[in-house]
Amino acid sequence: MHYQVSRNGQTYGPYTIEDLQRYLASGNVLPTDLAKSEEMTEWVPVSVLLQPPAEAAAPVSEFATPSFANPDPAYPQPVAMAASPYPDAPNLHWGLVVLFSVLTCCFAMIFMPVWNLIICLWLKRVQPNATAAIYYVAVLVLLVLYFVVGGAATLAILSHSSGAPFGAARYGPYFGLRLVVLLAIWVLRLVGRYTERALLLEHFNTVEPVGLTLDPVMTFFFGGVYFQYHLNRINALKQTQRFGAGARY
Amino acid sequence: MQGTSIVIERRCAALALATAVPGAAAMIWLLRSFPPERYAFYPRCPVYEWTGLLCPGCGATRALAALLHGHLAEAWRFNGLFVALLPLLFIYAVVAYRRGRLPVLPNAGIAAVLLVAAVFTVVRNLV
Repeated sequence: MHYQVSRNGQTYGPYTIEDLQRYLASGNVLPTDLAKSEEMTEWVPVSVLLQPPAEAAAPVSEFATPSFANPDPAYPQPVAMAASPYPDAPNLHWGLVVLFSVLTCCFAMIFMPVWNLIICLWLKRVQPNATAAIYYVAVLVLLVLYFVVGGAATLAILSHSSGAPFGAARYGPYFGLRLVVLLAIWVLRLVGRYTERALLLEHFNTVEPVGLTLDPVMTFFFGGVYFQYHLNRINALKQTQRFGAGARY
Repeated sequence: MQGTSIVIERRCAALALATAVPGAAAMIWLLRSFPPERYAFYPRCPVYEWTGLLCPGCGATRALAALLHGHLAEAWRFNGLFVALLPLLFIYAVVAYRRGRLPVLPNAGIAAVLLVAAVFTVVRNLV
């Protein structure tokens, strides 16, 4: 069975009962937070939900459905959000990530691995065990190698003819090497992407529990843009928690 | 903790400036001294190389080189989208640095620019 958690009118989850027990122990979920499954008709405090069965049978009518429009000002501030000791993720709008990537298209969309690397360095700050950055460093090194070999191929063509049209290098020397490097870049990007996904899911479902889910198929096709879209939303949520409903991203 | 976040972003902005200024100076020197049309060592667009299609960024390096020589019309022919967006990108970078955080842009504006980029890409491959 899965439960939603409500705090100050904001809902998180769904979480399993084991997740709730773990988050309660780590302090990310408070005993006073409200929880409800699809089968339940009323929100109940997490402390009541996690009680042993005999105690849980006690009446909970005093915990009525919370008023989302007028949250109790005395209600404790969300630990995982407003008082989060973790810095926000870099907040470049996902649309700009797309734009800068297509504008650097001629450089193999080099903006994207650079931005992935920036996100991974931020992940390293919030999760010291994060290792995804190494894959993007390798991608950038291989991209430089790809262009150096490409330049060498073009120069080799020029030395044998009076001019080389754009595109000639694809049939020229080093074709096999360049293809292998491109494939290696593609594989490394995928490995980095899924490592980054696992780290984001871990962070935003444990230390900052916002119930983040990341579709593996969307990750495969849209990777960094898809992650940025979610990071923008999470940042907006954190801003709203800090400054009220007027905040936007 | 918002204060912490701003401090970190200011550090990032300072780091970006420390790398962007020498990087930009080196790029300007390279493009002015070795025009991409006459020197073959510049990277070739992988999209164009492998598919024969012009990407939205194709010609941006040559356009920048032309701009650095004061040839606006020539730059426009190489990549009009890049030339049109360059002032906006510059303003965005300056505002980001001055504020110490990335500026918030309206979704409609970003969507419009992406639409223009898509139309530009289709048209330049058809004409």
